[in-house]
Amino acid sequence: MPAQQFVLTLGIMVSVAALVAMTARRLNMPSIIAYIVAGLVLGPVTGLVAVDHSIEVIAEVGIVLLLFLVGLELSLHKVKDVGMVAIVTGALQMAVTLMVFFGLSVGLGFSVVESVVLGVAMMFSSTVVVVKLLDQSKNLDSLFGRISVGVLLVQDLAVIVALTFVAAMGRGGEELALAELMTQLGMALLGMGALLALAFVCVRYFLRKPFAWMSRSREGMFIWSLALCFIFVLLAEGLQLSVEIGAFLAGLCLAQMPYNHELQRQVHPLTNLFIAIFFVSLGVQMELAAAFGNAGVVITLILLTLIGKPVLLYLLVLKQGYARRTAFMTGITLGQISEFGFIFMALAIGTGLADETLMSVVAMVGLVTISVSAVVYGKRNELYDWLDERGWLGKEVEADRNEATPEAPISNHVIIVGMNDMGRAIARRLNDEGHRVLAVDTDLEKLRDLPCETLMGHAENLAVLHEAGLERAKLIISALRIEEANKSLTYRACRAGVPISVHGFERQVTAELSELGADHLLIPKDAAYAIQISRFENQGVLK
Amino acid sequence: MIEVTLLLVAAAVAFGISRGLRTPVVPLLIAMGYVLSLFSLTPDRAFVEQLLQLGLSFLVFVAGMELHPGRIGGRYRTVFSVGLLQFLILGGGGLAISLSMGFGMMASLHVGLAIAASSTLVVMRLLRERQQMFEPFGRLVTGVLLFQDILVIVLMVALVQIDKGLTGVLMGGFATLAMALAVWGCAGYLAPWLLNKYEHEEEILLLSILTILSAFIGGALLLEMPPVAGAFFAGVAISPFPVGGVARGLLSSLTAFFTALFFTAFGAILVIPPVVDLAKVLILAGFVIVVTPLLVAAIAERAGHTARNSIEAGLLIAQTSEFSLIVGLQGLVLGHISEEIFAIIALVTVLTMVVTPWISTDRIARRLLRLHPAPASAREPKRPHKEHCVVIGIGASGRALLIELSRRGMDVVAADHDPAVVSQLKDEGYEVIWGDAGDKESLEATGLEHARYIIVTTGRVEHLRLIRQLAPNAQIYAHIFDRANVPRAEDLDVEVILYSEAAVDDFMVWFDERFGATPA
Repeated sequence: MPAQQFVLTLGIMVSVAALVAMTARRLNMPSIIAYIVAGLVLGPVTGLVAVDHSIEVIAEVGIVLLLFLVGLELSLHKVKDVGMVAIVTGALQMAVTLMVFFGLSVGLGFSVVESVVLGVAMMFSSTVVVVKLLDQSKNLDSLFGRISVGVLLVQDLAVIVALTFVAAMGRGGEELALAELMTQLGMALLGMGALLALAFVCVRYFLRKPFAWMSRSREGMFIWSLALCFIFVLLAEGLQLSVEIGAFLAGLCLAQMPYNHELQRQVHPLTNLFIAIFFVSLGVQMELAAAFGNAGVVITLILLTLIGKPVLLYLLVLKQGYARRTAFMTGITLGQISEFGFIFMALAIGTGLADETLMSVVAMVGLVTISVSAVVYGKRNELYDWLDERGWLGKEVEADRNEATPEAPISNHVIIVGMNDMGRAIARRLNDEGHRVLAVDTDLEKLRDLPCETLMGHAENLAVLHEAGLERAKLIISALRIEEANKSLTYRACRAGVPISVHGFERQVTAELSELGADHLLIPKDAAYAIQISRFENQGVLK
Repeated sequence: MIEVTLLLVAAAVAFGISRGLRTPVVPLLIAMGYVLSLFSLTPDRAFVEQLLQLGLSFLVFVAGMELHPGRIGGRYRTVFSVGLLQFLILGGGGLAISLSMGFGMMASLHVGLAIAASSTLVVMRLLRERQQMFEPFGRLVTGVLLFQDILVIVLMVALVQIDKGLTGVLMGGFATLAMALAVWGCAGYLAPWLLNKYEHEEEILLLSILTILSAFIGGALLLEMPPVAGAFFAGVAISPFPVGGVARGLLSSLTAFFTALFFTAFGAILVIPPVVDLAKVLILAGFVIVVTPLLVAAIAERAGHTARNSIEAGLLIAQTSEFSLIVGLQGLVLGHISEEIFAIIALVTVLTMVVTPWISTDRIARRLLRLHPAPASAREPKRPHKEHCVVIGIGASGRALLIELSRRGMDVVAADHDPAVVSQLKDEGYEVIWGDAGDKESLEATGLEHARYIIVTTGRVEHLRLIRQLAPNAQIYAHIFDRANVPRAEDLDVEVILYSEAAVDDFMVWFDERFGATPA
């Protein structure tokens, strides 16, 4: 595809995605569905867009960034916390799901081989969908969010085994070489161990100093982090692991660093864009026609996925001593099949283990379960209350492990943006007088020796202001010497109804800032001028 | 995936070197990309070219976002005269040089156009990094870039249509008009509406902004314009406040990502032409680097800017533009120029872009200022002074002090190094000496040794030391920006007024009034 065509294709994908997402917003539908629908429109319906290698790479970059983001969000001890429950739940869930779907498929009249393939395709939940949902609802960090991600990562390891399985079966449908499977599994675990060890060594010995040195350059640090992420991805691929695992581990490495929140905010928009392209391309590639001929099978599989999987997960998590709510949310979150199912089916077709019909059945089940689970996830609290009222969730047992109660958000504070000489002086002065002060700057160095609370981030970013608790602040001050940033801060402060004092460093700027609604202007030159004049007056030089 | 990884790793190395050596990162990115290509580490060239096109569209879009007409600060006539004259003279010079090198008319036209405009991408990045966007010369440069970019795009469209005669020219005019109309509609209605509706939906907002970008690129293709021109217009269309500010915040990490990818990818596909052509490259690049600052400095100063501002503006835009590459590429595709000439254009662009951060420094501007011809009789005081007040450094506050103190009957002599400022204040009847605050003779011309009060607003401690030597008994006030300099100034028995502290005092008065002296 020539370069111009490539840009145009991406443009069309993004544009249609945006338009559908706006409509979906009105209908209160999650954006994932919007993107897939956009893909369906562009691919199967109109045929406007075809996915080629370059688009695939962009989509894959989306997955990498998404998992990198997950890693960043979860520090090592948070993962360790749910390690056991994730392994137990993941393994049992996969085993039971595989057996149930296998039995069902045989019962529905599929051959044994086809049933195994179908069972495997059904047993995984979608990492990308789940993480995207968790991220959007800011639940990545919650207990059920962490358990879900843990289960998904365990599944990711199983994916490798599943792929070996297809390859082995494809080699002539002889007896499955159990030895080969075990070697592959062993290799995967070994690779995983090696990568984990590397990550650990990196965090412990190599990364801290260089990254601290780089942290003065926001852009540089961002690029370094991305480079690290993609190096891990390549290593993971080299070790026959999935790119997801590589990206996740790279994220975990950097999660320990003091600026990981700012890094998350930087990765976020990039992820949003690339993952949108991923979902659109998913929709583009869907072949659904044959599924309509097998409506009965499709509906059965859908219902089993939507209801059976959550119930199974609910019971599994509950049995391990977690609260009903946590167990329920984990189940609801994982109630779909994975986009990996499609890839797996494509491979299976390639090796002659399945036919196109089966592929479109899986695609249909994927499309519906992903969409429905996204909607259900949005209504998870209502659903929980509804089921609880009817007593269908069983009695609440004393839970061993509970969600930590979140801290009360900061309020009635003064936010100061820009830790230059003036910003620091104001921060010190207000802090000394006993006010609660939150200092914001993009440079960690400048925040280090302040007596008040600090936040590293780019104040032009809405997420940063949100984290700084702008809506609850008493006052926001910008000491920045950047006109645009000061204007947008003034605008935001006025929208939030918070008074603002801004640095009006030049005459041309001050009028505009007042017009926008700045309550006070910091004008050092005028202040110095006034002091000079008053000194002369006090000395009697001027009358 | 391997291409993306390699480009990112190369970029990471470039950022590391840039941090270590404290040098600008863009040249290093290009260099690291070139290193990749030396080891033939970019196997999938087609994909790299796709990334290049994607990155270019995005970066031109972001650069266009900085070009909001409101930023120029009203001095449209200056912008117009500087922009047009520089464009014409540089373009004409480029044309003449190319013809004399035997390039042929059509090719020379392309080279001339390629040389005429300056790089929005590089300059806006520098202005932002150095926080000079809103200095007077920053505003001037912003305006000139906006004007020149539009000029290049119009002429580029004309070059495509030149074979088609009058209908072609009319088509080109129509296309530009259509784009302008779209910009107006988007900036005035569509973008603010979108922002208002989806203010808290970052994901949708991000995609809508990129949709606007895509729509403009699509429109450009329909109108037979280069897609990058569409990206540029899209940027201008969402530049006004508050959309521009929000978009910049949303896109900042994408910008970082694409900056890294684009410049390394660009380095990776760069071809260095043979030695004979290198000489031509050097001649053209030298022409741009030498002529632009002189030209701009002269025109801007005549239009009323300070000499310092004029020189800084000239140094900053002494390079060719990313549009030069597009002009070259377009000429190549249409068969108007040869591969060889395209390589020359590309290399001139790289070379001048790479040099920009190093020539547009404070030090060089200061050196050039010394070469500036003196304003008439600027070093001679009108009459001897005694017990007077000397103001050294006439920025915003120095000027206000000069005016206010004179008005209230003080005998004031001022000094500044900027010839344009000096001439202007002299015309208004003030006594002003032209000279450097670090230069003994200039200082003595103010009658320093007999002065009673000296106010120094230049902010440099070295100046204070010399002034204290020359005037051991005067009462010296220093207005200082940097807190770190305070103790050294006080050692010289100078009374310091710290700008930030003054502003903070002022702020605290307001704060206590508004919120009460003790916290709730």
